Formats: sequence, C-alpha cells, structure tokens
Amino acid sequence: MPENRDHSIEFEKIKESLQAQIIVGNNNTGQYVSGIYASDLMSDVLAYGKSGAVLLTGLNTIQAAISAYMAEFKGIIFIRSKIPDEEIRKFAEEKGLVILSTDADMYEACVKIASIEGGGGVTKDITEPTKKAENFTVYTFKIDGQDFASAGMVSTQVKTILKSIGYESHLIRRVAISTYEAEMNVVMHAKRADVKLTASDKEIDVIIVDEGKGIEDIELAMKEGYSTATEEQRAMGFGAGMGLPNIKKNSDKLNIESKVDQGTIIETIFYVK
Amino acid sequence: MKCIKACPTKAIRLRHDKITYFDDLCVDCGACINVCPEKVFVPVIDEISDFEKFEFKIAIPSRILYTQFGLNIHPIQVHHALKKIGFDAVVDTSKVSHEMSFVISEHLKTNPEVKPIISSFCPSLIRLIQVNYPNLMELISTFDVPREITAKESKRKYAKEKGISINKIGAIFISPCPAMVVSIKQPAEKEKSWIDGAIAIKDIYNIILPEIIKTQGNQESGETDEYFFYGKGWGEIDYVPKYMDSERCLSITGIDNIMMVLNDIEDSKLRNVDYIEAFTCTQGCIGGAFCFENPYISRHHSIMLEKRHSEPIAFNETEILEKYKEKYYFLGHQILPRPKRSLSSDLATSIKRMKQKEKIYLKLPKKDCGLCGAPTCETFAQDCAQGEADLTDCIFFKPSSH
Repeated sequence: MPENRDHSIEFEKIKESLQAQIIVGNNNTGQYVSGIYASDLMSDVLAYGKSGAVLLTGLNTIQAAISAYMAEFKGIIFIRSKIPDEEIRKFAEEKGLVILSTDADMYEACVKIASIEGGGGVTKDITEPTKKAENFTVYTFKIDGQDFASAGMVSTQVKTILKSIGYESHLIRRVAISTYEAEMNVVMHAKRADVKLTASDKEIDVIIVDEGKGIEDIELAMKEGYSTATEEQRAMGFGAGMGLPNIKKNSDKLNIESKVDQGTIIETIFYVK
Repeated sequence: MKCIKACPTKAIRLRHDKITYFDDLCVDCGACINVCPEKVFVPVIDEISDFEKFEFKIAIPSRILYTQFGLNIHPIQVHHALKKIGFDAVVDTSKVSHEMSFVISEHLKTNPEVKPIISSFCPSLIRLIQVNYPNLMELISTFDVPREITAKESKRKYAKEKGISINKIGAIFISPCPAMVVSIKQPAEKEKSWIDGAIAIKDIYNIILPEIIKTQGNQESGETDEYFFYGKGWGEIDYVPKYMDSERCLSITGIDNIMMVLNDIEDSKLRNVDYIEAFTCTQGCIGGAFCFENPYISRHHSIMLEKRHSEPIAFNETEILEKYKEKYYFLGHQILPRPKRSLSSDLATSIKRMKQKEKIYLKLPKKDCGLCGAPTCETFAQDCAQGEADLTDCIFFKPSSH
C-alpha cells in the first residue's frame, strides 16, 4: 500500500533505524525529508508521490531512479540488500539523489521508519488506506485585467487540459464557455485574478478570485443584457451583458461573492454524469 | 524523421527504429507524404488498369489538374488527353460547383439555426473535427460536395444515354490529395461514395503529358466537349467569399490556422460568421500531397487560366431550387464524431495519468528534439504516462550512454 507521510524526518535517522548502507550521497544524509513513499509501482510514485520525499522500493532499475527524480524525491532506499548498478548510481549522482540500501524487507522497513522517535512517527499513517481524494488534479492560472490581447488564453488552456483527460465533449464545451465569459469579465472589469481548476472524476470546479471593483448588485448583473462595459469595450464586441447569464446557463452550480471596490469570487461547478 | 514533426495531430512515432502511427489521430492530411524522402507512406490509390471492369469510364478531374501543366495548355487539352488514355468521358465539376454555391447561398438566407456552417469539401477537415472537435460536428455542412454530385449526375446521364446499367459505369476521380481518396474508399460522410476509384494527380501526370504535348499547336482541330465548362471551381481558396452571395463567409487554409479558428468557435468567440470554407492544405487543394506543381505556381496558373478561359455558366435557378427542396444536394445522413485515444477510458485513471504526465513533463528538457521518437516532450510525457513509451527513451536520462 503506497503511503505518503507528511512529517519531516532527518535522513540520517532513517539510515540508522534501517541500518542502511549509503550507496550514493555520503554528504547529504543530514537533510530532512518530507516523508516516505513505499511502492514498487512507478506510475503511482509519479501520480501521488509528494516532492521532498524518499522512495522506499524493491525495484532496482533505472526506471525507479528516473521516477524518483521526476517526482522530485530526495533519495531512494532499496530494500532486501539490493545494490543498484553503475547506471543508476551515476544518474543519482548527477541528479543529486541519495541512495541507501537496507537488508530489511518492505514491511519491516516501513515499521522501523514509522517508529523513529521525533520523526513524527505516528504508526497509523502507514496502515491508513490511500485516500480517495487523490482522484483529482489542480491547476492554477492568472488573468491580467485590461489585457485584451491575451483574453481567452486561460479558457483555452482549461479546455486543452480537460480534453486530454478525456471528459465528455459537451461537458468540456460548457466549462470552456463559462470560463471564457468569466475570464472576459475579469479582463473588462478587474485588475487581476487567480483561477483554480480542480478536475476530478465526479466534478469539475473553476474558481476565479479577482481583485477589482466588485459587483454592486449581483441580481441585476445576472439579468441578460445588463452590462457596465464601456463604449470602447462594446465597440470591440464585448460587453453584451451575457457574461453572468451565460455562466449560469452553462454551469451546474454557481456561487458569486462580491465586495464593492475589493473584488469578486466566482465559483462554478460542473458535474460529471 | 521529418514526418514525426510534420504531423499536425502528432500521430506519428518512431519505435524500435520503425515508424508507427496512431490510426485514431490520423486525419489523412498527407503532411507526412509531402515531407518523406524515403516514400515510406504508401497511400491507398488506384491505377488505371483497376478500372478495366467498367464498360464505360468517366474521369472526374479535380480542378487542380488543369493548373499543373502551364499557362499555354487549355483545360480542354487535358480533357482530350484523358480520353486518349482510355476514358470514355471526362466531366468537369464546375457546373455542379456553380449550382451548389447558389444553393448554399440560398440556404443561408433561410437563416439556419446552427452557425457557422463549415464546408464539407475538405475530407481532412471533416476528420480533424471528428477527432479533435467532436463538439463542432453539428456545424459541418449537410451538403454533399461537387465531386460526388457530379459523379451521381454523370453516371445517371450516361446510363440513360448509352443504355447501360449504372453499375457498369465507373466514375474515377483524379485527386489532389490522399484525404479525398479516403473519402471515396471509406467515406465518413456517407455509406457509399458515388465515385468508384481515384487516381493521384502525380500518377496521371506522366501518362497524360505526352498526349497533351501531341495536341499542342494543333488546338483548332480539337473537338469541343459538351460537358466542359471552365467556370469557377471549389477547392481554390477564397472561392466562397468571392463568389457566394453572403458577406459573412470566411476562408481559411492550413491546418494550424484552422485549429485556431475552431478553438475560437468552441469558446463561442467567433460571432457574425455564417459560412466557413477551410482547407487543411496551405493554399487549398493546390497544396495537396498528390499535386505535381508547386502550389504558388499552380495558384498563378489557376488565376491566369480563369482570366483567359472561364465562361459564365448559365443554369435554371427554379430548377436548381426545386432540386434543393428535394434534398438532391444533401448528404444522406449525419456525420458522427470519431473516438480518439485518451489517457484512459476511465476518468479516475485518466486523472492519475494526467498527474504523471505533468510530473514527467516538468523534468523533461523541453527541447522537443524528437530523439525519443515522439514529436515533442509533451507527447513523450503522455506516451510514458500511458505506458506506451519508456522514460529511458529520453536521451537526457541515459547517464551511461554519453
């Protein structure tokens, strides 16, 4: 069972508890690691491993080293006395990975690490099943107000990500249109905004937090055709007063919070059917 | 390995020293054929001898054929040469093109609900939408294309005139690109094409050139051809905005430019456009992979030939509108999207792989060198996440080899 532990442990202590041998990175064991990730499945390491951790594995191949590097791990501990070959050692040296080797097997090593004192060694972490919440992925973007030249870039990126994950095309279209309208609102009315996209197998959430003049009367702003766009903006083909109504029409759930002269938070949720 | 980079949908990979491609990503555009020095890609194409089984053979040349021989070759010489090499009749698509642009203009006046309508002329464009823009399928024109209607019309006509069964008449298209050949052999647009086979312009070029040279300087004796009209034809860029009776038409060429516009349509950004003609080849069909002449020269020829020889084509508007009402110009059925490979068929797995892909991508050199066999670092990261490529294929992760 792969497991992340979010407790900082000194590398040296891990080495001691496992009575491990240092293969690569003699001078680097003083550093702290964010946790241990025990797995032989490198695809899980890439998907769920958190940066700064150490990989505990029995997979003695270059794949393991590359995966640990990709996942931004600090090192690898090989179990059951496995000694990596020249290629792996060279790679680890180049990329600054620490490599240890222990006689313990996977279970034994996990137990030993879990009982390290002062390492936040709460043993139940090890046995807790992988959280379901891992089935989502988060992306953040920024929008600049008044930047009409790049307007639409964020919704295009959102669309590209959703397409590669493989959501149903009508759902993607709704998210894209809604996000585009929200993005245009920021470009027209706000100074800047942060966008957060959370994509899971149950729903897609898009939250846009802007810094700007805010909306005085949300109910009025929701009316089709109502717009506070300037003449110039209208001349460019924007500000038809369809923004918020379009967002409402395309999303399954819409929350708007706004403070005048501070900003607006728009949260849209789209359910995966 | 120019093809890997040239492929606009990034479908080609080099794996174990062999070129492979993802069939579901291929849109038949022919970009790989254009750049390959080794002629690795062999398009499905017929030869003239394949048509011996037909009692009566009609050649339907793409209008691009006329632009391949130079300014001093009259299009009718091309028709005569085709007859010399064994075709019983040659029918130009201009007449039908003309009727259809009139019909489509009229159709737009009825203010159809779904807009903009995207021309179905370029089969590669249809495939691109099927694969990458399933949302936009409903925008693809429900009209059939002039080459098909021309085949249908001329087969019926000759069957009646010559008293032979329609099955014994073969309509053979002379094609500027592999996509049109695929649209004839495995049509996405309909169950069966009216056209029975296709020959590449490149292939027929060498066969008819000697015949054309023979008739040169001897034009007076050339007989006229009752089915020949040198009008304005589809497949050439700006045809629609120039000749169609609507001010809200857009013309695009080149697959990257098309994708840009399709993205805008997806975001509801493109407003005020009713009709779009788009060709995945740069410069339109004259840039097709089966063309012999350089597209810029052909374009020059095309403009000049049109100036010198084109004649107004008269047609009976009432009759045409009657046919329109009878759905004569329409495709039989709706074109459906084509499922494309995604990270996984299961969303949770897809999301997991997406995370892997991003982590891998972050650590890749992002130089898009292509040595791993994938066109870009991003596609390589995706292939790795899907388990189709190995991280060690990236030269930057091979410490012992250099």
